[in-house]
Amino acid sequence: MNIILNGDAHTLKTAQNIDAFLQDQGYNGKLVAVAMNGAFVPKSTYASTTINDGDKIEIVAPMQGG
Amino acid sequence: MNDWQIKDTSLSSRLFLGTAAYPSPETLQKSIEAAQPGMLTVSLRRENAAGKGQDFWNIIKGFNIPVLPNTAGCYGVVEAVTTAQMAREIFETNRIKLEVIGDDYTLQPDPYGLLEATEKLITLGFEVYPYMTDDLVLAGRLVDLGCDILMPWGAPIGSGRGLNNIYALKQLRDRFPDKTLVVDAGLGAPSHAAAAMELGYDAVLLNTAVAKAGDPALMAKGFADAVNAGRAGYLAGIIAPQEKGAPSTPLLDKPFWHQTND
Repeated sequence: MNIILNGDAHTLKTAQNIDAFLQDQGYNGKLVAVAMNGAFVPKSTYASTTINDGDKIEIVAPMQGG
Repeated sequence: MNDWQIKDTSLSSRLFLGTAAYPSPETLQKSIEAAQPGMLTVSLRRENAAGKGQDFWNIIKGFNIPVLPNTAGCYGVVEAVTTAQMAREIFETNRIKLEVIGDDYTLQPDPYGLLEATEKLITLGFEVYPYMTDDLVLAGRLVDLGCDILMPWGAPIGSGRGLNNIYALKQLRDRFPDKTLVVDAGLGAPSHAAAAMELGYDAVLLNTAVAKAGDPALMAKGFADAVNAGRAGYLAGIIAPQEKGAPSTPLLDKPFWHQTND
C-alpha cells in the first residue's frame, strides 16, 4: 500500500499502527511528533491509530527557529 | 530590573533570542552564552530517522532557558494549529509563538488567520504569543480572545529595518498598559532594541540580527546591553524633547558673567 511520508511517496507491506511504523522506520527512542492527514496524532494514541493506504504522515522533530 | 515573569514562567532577561541561521552549532552556543536570553525560540521540521533534530535539542536543553516554540512557515490555520499541537507534545510547554503568514514578500502575518488560529489554540489550552502587525484593532481582537501577550513586528522578519512605525508601537503600549508587549522581528542594530525598550515594551525578540552578524556572539552581547539600557531609560523617565536649548551648566557666577538685557 502507498502512503506519503514527509511529502515523499512511501510503500508499506501492510497496514500498521503508528507505534509499529515508527519502530520499523528507525525512529525508536527519538523525540518526534506525528500528524496524519493534517491532524495531530497524540503519542498516547499511536498504538490505536492505524495507517491505511493513501494516508499522509508527517513526522517532525525539534529544529532551529526564530 | 531583569528578573520578571510571564504568567508562571520566571525570566532572567528581556531579550528573547532565536536559534536559527547561525553559521554553526558552536556559534549558536556562544551567542546564547553572550546574550543570556530570557527565552529561546525553537521550531519543528520534518525529520528522517538519521536527522539532526535530537542533537540540536540537546544543545538547547543544556541551557535550561524557557523555550518558545513557533509555527514558522505556516500559511493556514489548520497547519498552524496542528504544528502547535505537535510542538506542545515535543517541547512540553503550552507556550506557542503563533505565526500565520499572509504575504510571501514581506512575511506579513495574516490577521484573519491569526485571529482564527488564536481562538482555536486558546480553546485547546495554549498560551498564545501572536506574531502580529502593529495594528491597534487587531491587538484589541486578540486581547478579546484572551491573549495576555502581544508581539507586534518592528519590521518584516529578517529585514533589519528596526522600528518601522514607532507611533503605532507607542499606541499599543499606551492602550494596553497591562499586557505583555514584545517587539518581534525586523530588528537589525542594538539601538533598535533599545528604542523598543525605551517605549516601555516588556521585551524584544530577534534572531537574524545576531545570527547573521559578522561576530554573532559579540552582537548578542550588544543586544543584551542595549535591552538593559533601553529598559533603564524607560524606568528612569526620559525627559521630554524641547524646541529650545537650555544650558545644563549653571551660568550664575560664571567668570565674566554679566546680566544681559533680556
